[in-house]
Amino acid sequence: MYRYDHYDQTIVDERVAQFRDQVARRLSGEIGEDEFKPLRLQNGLYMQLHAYMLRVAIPYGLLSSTQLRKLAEIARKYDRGYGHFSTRQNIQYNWPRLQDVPDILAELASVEMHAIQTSGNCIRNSTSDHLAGVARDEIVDPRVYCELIRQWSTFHPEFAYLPRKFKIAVTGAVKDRAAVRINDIGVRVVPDPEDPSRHGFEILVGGGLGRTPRIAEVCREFLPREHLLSYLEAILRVYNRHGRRDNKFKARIKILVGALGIAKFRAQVEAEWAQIRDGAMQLTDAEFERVAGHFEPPPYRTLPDRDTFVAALRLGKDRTLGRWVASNVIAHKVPGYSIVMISLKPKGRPPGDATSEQMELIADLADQFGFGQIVVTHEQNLVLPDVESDRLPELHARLTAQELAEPNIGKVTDIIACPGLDYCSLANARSIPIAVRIGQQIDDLDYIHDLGDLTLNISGCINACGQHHVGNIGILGIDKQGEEFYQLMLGGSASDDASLGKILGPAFSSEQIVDAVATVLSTYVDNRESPDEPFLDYVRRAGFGPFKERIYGHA
Amino acid sequence: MTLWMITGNATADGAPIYLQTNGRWTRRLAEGLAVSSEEQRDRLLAEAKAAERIVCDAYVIDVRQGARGQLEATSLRERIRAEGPTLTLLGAAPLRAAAIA
Repeated sequence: MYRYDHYDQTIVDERVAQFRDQVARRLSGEIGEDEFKPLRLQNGLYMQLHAYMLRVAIPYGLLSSTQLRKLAEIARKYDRGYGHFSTRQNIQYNWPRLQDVPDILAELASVEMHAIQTSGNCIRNSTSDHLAGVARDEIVDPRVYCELIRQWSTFHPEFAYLPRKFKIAVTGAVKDRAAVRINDIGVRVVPDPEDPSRHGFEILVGGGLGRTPRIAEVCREFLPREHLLSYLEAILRVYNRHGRRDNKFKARIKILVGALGIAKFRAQVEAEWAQIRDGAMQLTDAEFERVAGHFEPPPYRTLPDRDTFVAALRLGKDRTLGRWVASNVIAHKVPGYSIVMISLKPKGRPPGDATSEQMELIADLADQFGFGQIVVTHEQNLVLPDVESDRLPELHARLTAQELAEPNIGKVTDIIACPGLDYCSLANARSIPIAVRIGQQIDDLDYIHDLGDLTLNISGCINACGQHHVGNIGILGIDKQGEEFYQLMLGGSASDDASLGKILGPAFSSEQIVDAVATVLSTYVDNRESPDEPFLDYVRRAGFGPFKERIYGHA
Repeated sequence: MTLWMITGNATADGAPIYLQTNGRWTRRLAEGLAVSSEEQRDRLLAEAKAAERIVCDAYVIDVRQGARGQLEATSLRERIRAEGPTLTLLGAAPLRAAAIA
């Protein structure tokens, strides 16, 4: 993984010292909240309902075991003993004291981490495929490009005050696991049409959720790889010049793309790019190799193929182990190895939360069963990317002891949920208790596995941090005359077949919503063509009629 | 009769705090000062906004007498804010007390 050089470390250390002074001046009364707020936000420090919240950047979700232990230590020492992994592959602490934040940042800097650009109208942490480097369908490791984007965008002076926040996602595989179509810019590695041995990028632009959800459109079908940064810069320049600053609800790039139309937007980007494409941002082979050198494969052992062994575990007599292998273990590109997904969605727990003890165990397991690396997924789970397949039963037993072996990856209880009204100052309704209740009501593992792969996303307000628009089942919390109600949406997807869910009908009370979800699921099970027809395919084929009939009594 | 209270988040740790008499602040909504006069509400809010070393972004909330006579926030948001998350927190460690004034 990427290691800081002298410049990286100096930048981060100097930022810690600067913020320490700013905090001291705030606490002494020398500066007020109006002056301090933009300073703290530049360091990832929000004010939520009950406390400050510190968001720590985890570039493209990749952590070393040393870093994860530090995150666990910070949670225990300065917070309430847990952290929350977010949909941008970051971690959030919900209870830090202001006076402790400089010390937290100093501790983070000691392991090459920070909270810079995790807030504010700047380019945020690039997200990526959580299977980067190990997926069988990977064309090229996207983390090299994520790291190049990180270095280009960090403290980029031209883009420190954009009209609104800006999010980029990169995928290097055939299948999109990085939800690139719901980002401001989505970068897809694709083969060069003139030389399939080389690769470049498809550039998508204008995706996003919130109150105006939009699927990204293709801005450029093929971009040679050496031009990645100059093309991104051209997009950012057009957005920075024309994006609306008069209305924060219309300030994201998706609004600009929608207003201009993709053809006009593209023309402006191409014109801007023509002026800078062959300049200093051109990616040389030497620069690519410098960064790519940090992402060399670890020293894998030469092992026999163990796919048959893994399949036997999946179908074996030990159903607890079998279910876990079926849903939480993914085939690795190297023979004899497996990718293990660790669910942070055990029954009755807030999605995405992990205690200090759990983080420390996972760090130990990353060392003992892999090469000391852990990946955070945008679905709020963790990955051990390099586990020898023969050791899967042993690893399962170790995870089980800490409630980390829930066999529900990609299943209906693998719920993405925003913090909602339990934490968030913007929310209208609670999200986490709904997720918990769904997990408690739908708890038959045979039934959950019979439902197959199915995404369920919950947001506590229209800002859509729980990405409800792209859940196969989406739930949006709303406020109706002071009471929490929930809209139910069906048909969303964040993957290659990205689509926005549509509202099924009138909203449900908090007491009704879980039963409504259960009815949606039973309607699907009763009417699907076969157990092989996925939920999303059924919704697209059958429409909303069967669901409305069961839930509202009329189609 | 509408009752109001002045609240904000403590600068020290972001905890919700509520204005009492004589410019003091409490972490318990039930111990805050409820006022029914618009003039008094606005004056207290101005004083609270001036106390920004202690409190961030002071504002007014509606409160009412609860079933047992205690003061409580009218809105769900403010009730959750006053009483804490409605779910069981994963970590068992209690939040350390911090002086707010």
